[in-house]
Amino acid sequence: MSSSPVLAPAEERFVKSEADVQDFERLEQQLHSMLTEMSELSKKRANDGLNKFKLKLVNVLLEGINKFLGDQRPFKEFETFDENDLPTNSDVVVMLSQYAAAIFQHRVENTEYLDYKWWWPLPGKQGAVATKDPNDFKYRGK
Amino acid sequence: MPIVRPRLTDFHNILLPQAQTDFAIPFLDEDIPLYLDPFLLWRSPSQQDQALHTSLINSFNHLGYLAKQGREQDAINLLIALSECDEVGLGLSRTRQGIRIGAQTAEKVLTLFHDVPQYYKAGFVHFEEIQFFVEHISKDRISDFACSFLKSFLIDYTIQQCQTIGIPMSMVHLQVYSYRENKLKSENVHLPVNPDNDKPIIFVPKRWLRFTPWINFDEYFAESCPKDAKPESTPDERVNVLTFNRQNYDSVLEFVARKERTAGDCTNDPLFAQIPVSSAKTCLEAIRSLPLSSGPGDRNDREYERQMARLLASVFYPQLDLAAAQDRTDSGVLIRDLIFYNNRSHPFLDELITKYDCRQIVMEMKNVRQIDGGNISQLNRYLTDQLGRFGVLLTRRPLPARMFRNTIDLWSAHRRCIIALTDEDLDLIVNLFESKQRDPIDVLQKKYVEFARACPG
Repeated sequence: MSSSPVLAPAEERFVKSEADVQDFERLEQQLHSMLTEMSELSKKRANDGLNKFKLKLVNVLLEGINKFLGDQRPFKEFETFDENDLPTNSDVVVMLSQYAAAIFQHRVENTEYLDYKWWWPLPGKQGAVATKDPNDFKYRGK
Repeated sequence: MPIVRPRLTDFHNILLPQAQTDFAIPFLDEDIPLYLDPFLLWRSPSQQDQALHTSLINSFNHLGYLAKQGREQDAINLLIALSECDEVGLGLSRTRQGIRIGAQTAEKVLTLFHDVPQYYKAGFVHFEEIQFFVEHISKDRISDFACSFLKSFLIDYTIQQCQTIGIPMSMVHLQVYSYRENKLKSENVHLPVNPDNDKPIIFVPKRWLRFTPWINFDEYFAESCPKDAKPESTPDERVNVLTFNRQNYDSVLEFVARKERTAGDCTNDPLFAQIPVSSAKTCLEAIRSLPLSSGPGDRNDREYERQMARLLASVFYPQLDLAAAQDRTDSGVLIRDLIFYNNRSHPFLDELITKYDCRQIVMEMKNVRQIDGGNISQLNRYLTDQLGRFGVLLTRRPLPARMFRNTIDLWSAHRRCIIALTDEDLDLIVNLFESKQRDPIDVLQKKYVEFARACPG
């Protein structure tokens, strides 16, 4: 059984409602599946440029995650990919891996273990949303 | 300095890539190296093309009718007049001017209607066959005859295309073959004109063009001509075969029947064909393994330039059409450039026009160990108002920091942009060319964006 780490202060938390929890968990799963797909692509053709359609999807995903991570994002200088920079498959895998680690850390710091269950505590009197052990959400690849 | 190898559309500032037009864009000072193949009209699924082929053949056979009626001189005069069609600018002429056939050749063409019983009775089905019987008739002449007979249609086609894309036209006086009256008539029509000499220009649909006609003498000679027609290799070999064919029409008939059976394989030739991915990779390997230049006149330089021209012309197509691979001399130094038409067919290319008036992209090839100030100055001097203020150095290694600074200073002082494409960039270009995930021209844009970010302000 995991123990609950120290929670981030309430004012630094970006998960503030049940809808935020749903968004966060959706983006987390999308990040994992995107990273899996990109890793496969990168194994085949690491130095190939990513097409604009996929790049747009990656950027939409990163924008969504950035809202939750705030200053906790992996690199302060990086927010999304610029299509003019022609990012390659391996560039994207490197960055998505960093994001997978950051989003895991965010979950660890924003969930708590109470009464034998894991919870997303919500500010004020909103209560909490049930979840699972953060380790179950750690990206492990294929 | 005027732009290199100008096309009609470039002159009128209509920036259209060749791939997007239905017709072959004419050059202003030379011919397009393709020919109108009447067989493409015959085998076309379009009723219009088939009907035009029928009218073409009827018009040609009318010459035989004239000869039979004893009006041989009329037929000869008509044949001579129709033997050149300068307005379409097809062929290999460097001046857009051709020479008509002589009376003797015209007479020989007409004798076919007497000498070959099948032509006497039924006329021609494919008038290209005249090249099997008459000397001095080759693919360019067939194309010219066809264009002259179809000139009336081609004029209408040209007017329609000009109206669609906005090419200005002027009133010109032309001799046009009248299908109804079977003679040449003077007409005043609106057509685009060559700004250099005010001569009219007529467009030809790309779907009718080939490098060699489907029915051609060379293939007949190599594959179908009976052995006894060419007993030994002599200078008169061709003449012997032509004479033989007059007496042995069956061998020609058999060849033409075979070509008709394989008509499904007959397609038009594109004005430019990209090299396949495997060849692009071979080019890249050849470039990467080439030693750096050891000095002026090094043969490795020539090889580098040859491979680069082959590779870049293909990978940047269709966004950029290659205008020319040219030699020029600057301060006694021989320089090789690749010149591309800027067709504004990509947002990046549009920006080059807006910011740098770049109507043609100059890429200077340098197989040197390191780019120096002299190389940058050479290219800078060449970036005139006509070509625009954007240029590319094709080189083996990245610019040294000092030289990169030099290009930034040029931008700061004169708003001129010079970027470098290196072997590493070529790697990425060929990768993209293979995977089709992005356009190879995006690499050029990437280098430009990197340059722009380094510029002050």
